[in-house]
Amino acid sequence: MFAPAGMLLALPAVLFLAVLICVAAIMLRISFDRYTGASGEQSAWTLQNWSRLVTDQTYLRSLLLTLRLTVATSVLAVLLAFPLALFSRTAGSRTRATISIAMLLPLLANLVMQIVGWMVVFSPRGPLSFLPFRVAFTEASVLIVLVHHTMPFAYFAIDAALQNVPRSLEEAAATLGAGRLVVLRRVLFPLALPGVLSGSILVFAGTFSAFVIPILVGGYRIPVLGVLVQAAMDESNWPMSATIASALTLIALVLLGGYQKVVLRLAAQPPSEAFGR
Amino acid sequence: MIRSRTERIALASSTVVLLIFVLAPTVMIMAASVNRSATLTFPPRGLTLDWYGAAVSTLLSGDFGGAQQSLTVSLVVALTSAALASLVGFPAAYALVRLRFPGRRVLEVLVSLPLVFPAVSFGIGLLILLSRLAVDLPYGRLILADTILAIPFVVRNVSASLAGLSRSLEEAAWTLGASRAYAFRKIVLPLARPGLISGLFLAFIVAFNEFTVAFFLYSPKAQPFSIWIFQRTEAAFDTSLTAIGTIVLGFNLLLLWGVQRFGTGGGSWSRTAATKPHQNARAN
Repeated sequence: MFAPAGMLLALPAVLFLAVLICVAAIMLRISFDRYTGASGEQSAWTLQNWSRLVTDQTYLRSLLLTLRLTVATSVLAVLLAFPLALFSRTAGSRTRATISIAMLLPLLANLVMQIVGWMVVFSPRGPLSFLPFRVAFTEASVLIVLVHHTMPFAYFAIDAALQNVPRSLEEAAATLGAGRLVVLRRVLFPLALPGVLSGSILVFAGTFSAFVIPILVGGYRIPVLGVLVQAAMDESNWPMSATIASALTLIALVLLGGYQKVVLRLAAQPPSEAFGR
Repeated sequence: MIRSRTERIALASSTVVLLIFVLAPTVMIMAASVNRSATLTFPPRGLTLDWYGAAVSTLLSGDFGGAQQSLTVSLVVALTSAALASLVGFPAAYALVRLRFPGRRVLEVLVSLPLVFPAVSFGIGLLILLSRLAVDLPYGRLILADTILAIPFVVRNVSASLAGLSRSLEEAAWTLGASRAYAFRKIVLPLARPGLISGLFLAFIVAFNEFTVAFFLYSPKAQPFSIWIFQRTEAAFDTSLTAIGTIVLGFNLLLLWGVQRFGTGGGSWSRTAATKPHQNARAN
């Protein structure tokens, strides 16, 4: 088949996806506009919004809060997903399918409804009421729900990486005298590393720009960056709103670049190659 | 597999704990929906199905801020978006797996973009873009957004299916005198079907449940169901919402089961779209 056939086949999808590029471009443009208070915004080329983003206390604190939550979520998601992926690696196909459905649920099922479910968990008469401190509307509750929502990314990525590891590798290591922990550390973990990386990048991306979960679970009390995008919009400060949104998008694009790199290496690397290291 | 008993027990028990964590909110909603007490308590105090009666009458009436209309909006938007995403996603997946062409790497990156693009930025940005273009399409903008968000799910599942089948099958059909179109219809399409079904189902689920982007794009003329649920939760929480939630989550579970049963399993959405063009692919 001649070369342009591929371009022709891809064109409709590209047209749709190009909307995202247009969205990113127009927001970047508006982020340089001047906000003139009540009268709205004025077309300009100013850096005042960007400089506010990196100097204003409100935004700096929000940035720190967002980073803290994102890093904690990524670490916890990987720590929880890893043993699950190890288990499902050797489980029967039926168990694997059940785990897969269970993991798709937090990712895809109605988010608002799931948050209502978590509110029952955190409510004063819920199953966590024995705890000596309040969980509802705290940073901890937001963290729990964020981990819940993004862990599937880590699970599916690690699971996919471990699927490519032939069992004979483990057996060979065991025959050569490696204990189970050594096999885990020297064989399984290094081979799962691309999955761990690509999974945590997706978790990171999903958490960094989180909006609904901090608003609903945190009761508007956990002002992460995503929440401030909307807060600025509510004040009709479109330039500031566009600036924060652009910052989030730029971070996402950097993450996507990293993700693509990891995924390409994963696709290119036969299992035996990593073993020879 | 050489595995000690301790190891097996450790793995199995951590799996059980994790599954409890994963299913916790779903179980809570279900428990609350049969709880006689009107306040959110767990464990339930006495069982009742009254909330389901209330839920059904809410869903079938035009009152309560238009539950029925919202449900219709969501179904129409989700069906259209899933169909559109499949229509444009399938050829793109075929091109990615089978063909070499300039811009293939760009396409790969583009296809992953909706997965990482911040939903808040997408919602606000699309709102701004459409208002600058002076386009006012209450349904159209929801469908546009949901189609974009659903494309990765279609492309990933279809390419996973296509990558698994050998190109020589198609070539054999050509050699035996089948036209390209005939070979496509008789060989490629049936073999890609599991991926296409998974993609369609997942696209529908994504579009039906989408919240953040819709939060910025909905209008009174087209208010999706997830927005309706959100507004009811914010306004006055009433326990029949947990029954509605159970019905919605049950519907989602049914669709996910469909993905497992008739499709590729759904897990392949996360598998790499960066499949290399098949070894035999020729750039002639």
